[in-house]
Amino acid sequence: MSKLDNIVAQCEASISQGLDEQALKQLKAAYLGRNGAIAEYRQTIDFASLTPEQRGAVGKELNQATGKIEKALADARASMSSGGGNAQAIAFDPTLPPMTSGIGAIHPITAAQIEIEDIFRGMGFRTYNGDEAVSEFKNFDALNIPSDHPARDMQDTFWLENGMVLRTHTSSMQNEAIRKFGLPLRAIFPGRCYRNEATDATHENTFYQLEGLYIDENVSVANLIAVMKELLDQVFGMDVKVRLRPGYFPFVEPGFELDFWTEINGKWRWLELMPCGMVHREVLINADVDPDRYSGFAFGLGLTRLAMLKFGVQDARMFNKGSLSFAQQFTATI
Amino acid sequence: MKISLNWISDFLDVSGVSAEEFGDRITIHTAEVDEIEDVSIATAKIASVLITDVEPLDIPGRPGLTKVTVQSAQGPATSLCGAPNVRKGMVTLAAFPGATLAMGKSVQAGEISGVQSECMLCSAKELDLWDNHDVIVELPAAIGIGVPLSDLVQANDTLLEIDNKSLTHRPDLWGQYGFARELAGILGRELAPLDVSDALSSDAGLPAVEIAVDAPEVCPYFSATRLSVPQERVTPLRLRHRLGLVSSSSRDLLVDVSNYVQFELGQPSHCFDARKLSALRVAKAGKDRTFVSLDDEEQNVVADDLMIFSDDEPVGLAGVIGGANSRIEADTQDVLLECANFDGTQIRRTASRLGLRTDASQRYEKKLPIAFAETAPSRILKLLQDAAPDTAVTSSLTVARTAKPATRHIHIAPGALSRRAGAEITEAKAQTLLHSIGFGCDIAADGGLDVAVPDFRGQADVTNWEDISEEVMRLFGYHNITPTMPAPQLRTPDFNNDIRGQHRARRILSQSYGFAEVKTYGWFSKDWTAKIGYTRPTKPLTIVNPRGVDTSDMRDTLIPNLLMIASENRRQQQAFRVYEVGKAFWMDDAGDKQEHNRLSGVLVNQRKKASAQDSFFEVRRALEDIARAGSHPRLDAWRLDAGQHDAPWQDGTAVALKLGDEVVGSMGVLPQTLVRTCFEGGHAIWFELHIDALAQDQYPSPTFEGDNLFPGSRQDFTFSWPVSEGYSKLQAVLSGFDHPILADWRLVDAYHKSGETHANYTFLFQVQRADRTITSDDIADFRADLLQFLEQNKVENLSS
Repeated sequence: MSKLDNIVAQCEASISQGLDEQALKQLKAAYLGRNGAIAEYRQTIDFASLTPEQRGAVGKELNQATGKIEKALADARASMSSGGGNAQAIAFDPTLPPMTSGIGAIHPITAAQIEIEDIFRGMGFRTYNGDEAVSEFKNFDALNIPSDHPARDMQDTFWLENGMVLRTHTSSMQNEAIRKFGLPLRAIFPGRCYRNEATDATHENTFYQLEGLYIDENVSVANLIAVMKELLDQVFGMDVKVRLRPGYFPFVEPGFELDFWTEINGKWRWLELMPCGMVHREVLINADVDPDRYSGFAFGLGLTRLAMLKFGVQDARMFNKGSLSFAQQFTATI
Repeated sequence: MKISLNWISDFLDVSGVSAEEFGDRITIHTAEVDEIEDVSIATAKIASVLITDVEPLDIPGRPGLTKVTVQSAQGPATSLCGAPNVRKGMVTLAAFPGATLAMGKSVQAGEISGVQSECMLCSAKELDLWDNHDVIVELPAAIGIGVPLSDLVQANDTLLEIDNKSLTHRPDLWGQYGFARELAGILGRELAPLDVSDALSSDAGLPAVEIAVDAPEVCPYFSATRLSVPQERVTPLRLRHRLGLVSSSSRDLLVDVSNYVQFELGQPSHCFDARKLSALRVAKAGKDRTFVSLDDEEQNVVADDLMIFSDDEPVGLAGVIGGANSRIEADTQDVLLECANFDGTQIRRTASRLGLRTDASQRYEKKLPIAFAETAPSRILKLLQDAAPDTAVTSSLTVARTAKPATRHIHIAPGALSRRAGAEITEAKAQTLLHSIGFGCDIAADGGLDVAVPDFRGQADVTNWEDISEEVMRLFGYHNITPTMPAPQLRTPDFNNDIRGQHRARRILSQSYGFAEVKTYGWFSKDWTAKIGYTRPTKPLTIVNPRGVDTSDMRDTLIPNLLMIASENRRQQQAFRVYEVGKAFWMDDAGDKQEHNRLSGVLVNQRKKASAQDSFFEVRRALEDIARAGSHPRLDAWRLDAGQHDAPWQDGTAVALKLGDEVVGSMGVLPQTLVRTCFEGGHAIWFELHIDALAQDQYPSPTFEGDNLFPGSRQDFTFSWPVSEGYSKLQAVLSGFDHPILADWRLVDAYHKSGETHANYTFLFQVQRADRTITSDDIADFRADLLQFLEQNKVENLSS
């Protein structure tokens, strides 16, 4: 290989290493510049001693070498600007994560509520809120809770000066909903409830429930179990094992506690999730429904409890505290 | 409540079933078992001994210590004992070297001041029998010497702790026997009858006890029996040990037996020292008075409390606790045994007011069946006679009662149980299940069932056929019912547009504007509202029994609580934004409660250079988006005059937000005085929307307008308008302009130089025709009409 060919090969090798704009400029100067490698080579030739034919041949060689270098440089630039090259023409680090977020937060109780509203809508249940301050009738009498029941005591219920109460459960919407929407009825009532009790990590005087009510002809315990299981399958995204066991609430007969089989701290066991039962005949009668024609079931899902389970919140008081460090953990993913 | 499997086995064969299985089956069929505990005591090298000599010792620092000589099966032995009840002739328990006591303590021979101790006389606590460490255990003298402890007690037992909450409706389950009956049903085994004395049922011509019930409505059954009990009486160790296991310590044979039956049958009773009584009378206290109870505490009784009087002197707080003045003493031999049924609510109110929830009151609260009170005296007498054979009945069983309730019969239609369960439960199967728990049950003529409710199930527990269906289904097993989805209902429920509207607003604020949703309490803190200077314009909805003295009034706006939590968060972050969807409450002029949904929020930016104006308009844009997402054309903001301000967070920037003519909320910049109260500086923006007013159809349908193919023309005009009037008024004025070729108009720019009275507003007017391309003549006509309108309405036009 001639000396000139070496110069061209060296230059092409340098270009192939993937240079940026600045490096290409320097390379051009180093080979084609006034004091570059080509110029330096040219100075080593004594043109005066050459014949015109020889001069022509040398000149042609030099022109070809320069042409090759210019083409290599041009190709490198072209591939860089088309993005297909390896050159790094970047003034910032694109791998950095964003330092701030534009998304806010949805309260975990709301998130749980929306999810369950969607599940029940799929099963034909309407959603109804109702009032938080309700008559004693709606909260107690309509639900077959006797006038001497301990729940009516001052230490359990917030009484209002106008004779009403702050609802102690969303079951207080049952009578109103039956009358408002008629039968057959499938409805859920999510909302805030109040109990006059001292607060600790598992007790809050302000908490959230989601009541469900289904009344039609020939509604059975088997129906109740199936609907509850469907709910939990959807919430937990798996085939959930559930069981009913006896529980007592004046507005259902029979009454149940619904447990589901779950893993807690590495151990599988039954966990109590929600009370439910077949609507008591007195509750139907109180809503002018014939209990010998219609039957139904009701359940009271603790939204606060569900949110604690779902999001791993240990202290029920966190939900009403308004702390940003708590609230902002629940990204608005609804 | 605790169940002892040993105790249960007095009535039922419990063999072949593990403790876990008992727990599971009781939980599934009857009541929740919280915990299963295996208990055992070490009995090796512990046996009965007779104390033959007690010699006081005088050892410095060890007052009361005695040298005791005992006769054991292996011969005499000495021991050192400091118990106050140690005496010659007593039969007690001694632990010999090699025995292991409670907490793993091992017994060794030793010596103190030269006195040999070859065995140890033990307290009940040291032997893990029950909770008493003051005295050594005394055994009935008839036991004699050399009987190993393992023959005197059942050393190993399993206790099942039942969740009391799951028993509130089952008064029959507040004793071991009730659970034995349940288990007999669950396991399909035979239940042995309770062993009772028949001495009370025979008419031996004994005199009656003088009793009277002045308040039969709360005491439907009251009985008294006089007994003569020997002074030398020691409760059998096995009975005392069982009481210890279910959390009652042993006292005197009479008290122990009364307690034993309370834990066994569920029926409380009381033994009085008859020497201190005359005629017994059950009546309301009649007036407020103090009463010293058995535990020597002074109780403040009110007029409505039910008491037991001896003549006019109170001797018992009915159903709760006896009186100190008539308690059983060591020398009591003449005893009055009282056994009654009291009204559950009456007892609960008294016990709860006095903070005195005794084992007795807890049971009466559940509305005990009268049948228990009828049975208990005979069972108590049987146990007394077994322990102290010289016990004698000295009066008739004297009863004052209301009419005996008739047995309740309930008919169940054929097939009804299967329909309710959603599983096949034949009438014959149901009959078997009901018989197993003591119900009478016959197949009725129509093929259904005629059920007789047993008298031990109380008055309120089983009253209709659905109650019976529960008994049948729980024994059948809910796990044997196959889940079945209801038949499909091909109808979509109506949307709840209020709730959907709330969720839509949440998504906009949380997903597009970075707000965090919070929830605050439904009431105000009066301290806080005073601090921010808020005086509500509405009459409050007030809680009679609030948790705190300053939290009695329900909130009529969400803003104070949001400012409070925002203030609490001020050091966590410099800039943040929070909102809440919740209820506001007040009483209206007609005296009716008002309760309405609100969406309220606060944006806080404590950075000094941040622009309140920018924040204001960002929030304003968010609220506009909420309105537009609900398919409303826009929200208008109208200045609130000073006279319309009704809250301290409103100042000159406060605006009412309107949909057309309807006010649907308000917003503004928080005055600096409140910024200083709540935050470190900077600014804050507040808003409150009547969110339900913005709710519309779930899927609102804007009308599509097709493209107009004929070119139109854009005409820009700039108007000058007084700032004090506000933009909304200009908008309202311009809305009155209508023209055949006006296709659209809107604000495109606003400029206000600080300090000037007028601002400039630039509007775009798009003019276009549907039938042809617009001409310069059309535009000229339009401009002329607009200018005329502006002049008539006193809008100054700056455009040429």
